[in-house]
Amino acid sequence: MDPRDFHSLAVRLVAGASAAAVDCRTAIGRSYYPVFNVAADHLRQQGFRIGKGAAAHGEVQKCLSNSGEPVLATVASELNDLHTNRNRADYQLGPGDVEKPAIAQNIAAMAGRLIQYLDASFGGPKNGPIYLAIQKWRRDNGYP
Amino acid sequence: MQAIQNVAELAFPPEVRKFCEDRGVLDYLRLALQIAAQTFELHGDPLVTIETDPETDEEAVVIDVSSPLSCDEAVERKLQYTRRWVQSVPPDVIGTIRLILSIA
Repeated sequence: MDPRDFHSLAVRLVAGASAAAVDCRTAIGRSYYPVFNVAADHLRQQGFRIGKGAAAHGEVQKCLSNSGEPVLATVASELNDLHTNRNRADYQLGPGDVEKPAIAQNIAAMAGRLIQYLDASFGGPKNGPIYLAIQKWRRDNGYP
Repeated sequence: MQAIQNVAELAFPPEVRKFCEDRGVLDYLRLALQIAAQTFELHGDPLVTIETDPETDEEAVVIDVSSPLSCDEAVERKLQYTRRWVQSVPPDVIGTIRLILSIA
């Protein structure tokens, strides 16, 4: 499936100002995964062997952080923030911001922007330098 | 509600200070707070805590800030903050200090 469908679901879940708490939490969780999976897909398409387990989350973030491309470093930082929000939405079940429609809408909107950044960066003219920077970082840090 | 005036005057919880000193990122935490104060109209002091990932046990410093912004403006301001942040720190620090924006 296209991981962008997760993002479409997140947007739909909190489209109204009266979205239920469970919809807000689900939308926040579904906002993290499309960004992570789109990034991982782009990296795999470049030939990098990204892991499949829990460690892949950190691996993807580090690849983007060390890509030499400020836009991708920005995505990396935001990806970490999305992950923190996702953990709060999924594991901290007391009342909180993750149950507010405005917060969930904001997080879903950010995810959409990050997907655009990923597609533009990996599909644009900087793709070659990005590949070389990530390849060097992976070699230097023991990744295949 | 009062906007923070001086990041240097903020007192961090002991566990946050120790975490940051152990990893050599205390100055970067102050920098993140400074950029946040310059980027957002903060309501109240930022809340700085250590959060542990329940799936990986990875720890990170999390800064919670609140600013009265619309959804669209919040996305733009947050990206503005993050662009400055990632250009100001080494790549390895990016995931160690995180910022969560509330637009209440």
